[in-house]
Amino acid sequence: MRRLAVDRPAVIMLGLLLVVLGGAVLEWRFDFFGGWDRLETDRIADAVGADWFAWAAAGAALVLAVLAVWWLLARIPRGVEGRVPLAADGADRIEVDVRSIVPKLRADFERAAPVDHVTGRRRRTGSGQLIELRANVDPRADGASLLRAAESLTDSVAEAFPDGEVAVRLLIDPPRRPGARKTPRVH
Amino acid sequence: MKARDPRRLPAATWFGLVGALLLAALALVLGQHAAAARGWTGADSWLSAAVAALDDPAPSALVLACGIAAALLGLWLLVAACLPARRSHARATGRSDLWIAPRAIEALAADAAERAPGVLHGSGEVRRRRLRVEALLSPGTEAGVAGIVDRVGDRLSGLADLEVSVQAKEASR
Repeated sequence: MRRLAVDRPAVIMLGLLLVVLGGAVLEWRFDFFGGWDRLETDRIADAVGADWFAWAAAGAALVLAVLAVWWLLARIPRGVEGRVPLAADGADRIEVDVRSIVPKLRADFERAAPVDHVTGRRRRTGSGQLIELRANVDPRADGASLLRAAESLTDSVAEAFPDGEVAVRLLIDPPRRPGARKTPRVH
Repeated sequence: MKARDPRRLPAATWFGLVGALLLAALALVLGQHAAAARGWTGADSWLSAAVAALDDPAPSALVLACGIAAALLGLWLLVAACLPARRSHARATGRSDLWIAPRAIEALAADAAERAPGVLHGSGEVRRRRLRVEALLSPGTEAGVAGIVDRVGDRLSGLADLEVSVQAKEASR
């Protein structure tokens, strides 16, 4: 899921609307301020029964339905463009497809570090891309070996892309199976 | 450009889904009213029925329950919209961009404690900058808590700068 900038303000507005709605029902039942007696229900019923209201409701329903569908679908993750231009002198233009690097880095990390289930994803950073590798740690791992593997991987990427167009980030998650740290039984 | 720290999805993202469904429900009510008022369906309009019910001196129990639920859900939405996204991983030392989840630290610490002599079972818990290790010692062992602290510290060296405390308990025979 993607995070959307519109989520926070829209959720605040909906929350306020729901609180007002619930407050109105409570006021109706318990009559805190006597506001319900002053409510002219006839005028509301006239407005809702009017001919124009049906068309207005149809229009509002259409707009709200489109908004709701957009709000649902906009959070589906989008693919990140794979090509990254490399700095080159002269008239040449060199681009690298980062998608081709990720499987190699995943395999390297899985081989060098005490981790498994390595997954990779890419995200844009300015003009370049950040490859985010995520892995489940082996509980028997020690910090030194993890650090060593991470540094060698970072160094190899930095060597391949000295201008920093592509960088790598490593996220270590807990072991996938909590029971896996028991010593295996040998029959 | 430096990438942002790894974080979980904020609660507002999940409540955005709830909000989208609420909007869809509102659209459904308005659309049903339009269809009923135009005579496209034979059913009565829900909105007109709700407006007619406004004349009652008090809401029915169902409406009251729905109102209370709406107010509580609204408060929940307001709180959730203001919560920041929590950090999911902590940065390790060194020049690489390596981040460790607290649960991973706990698993490593528990395994390290269990490999200390005389320890039957170990578990770890990370709270802020502290790592608390609980160890169950086999009865009669003279193994010291210092040994467990050393082993856990060695195992986590460079990964996290945590204050390690060990609570050891001797198993009953």
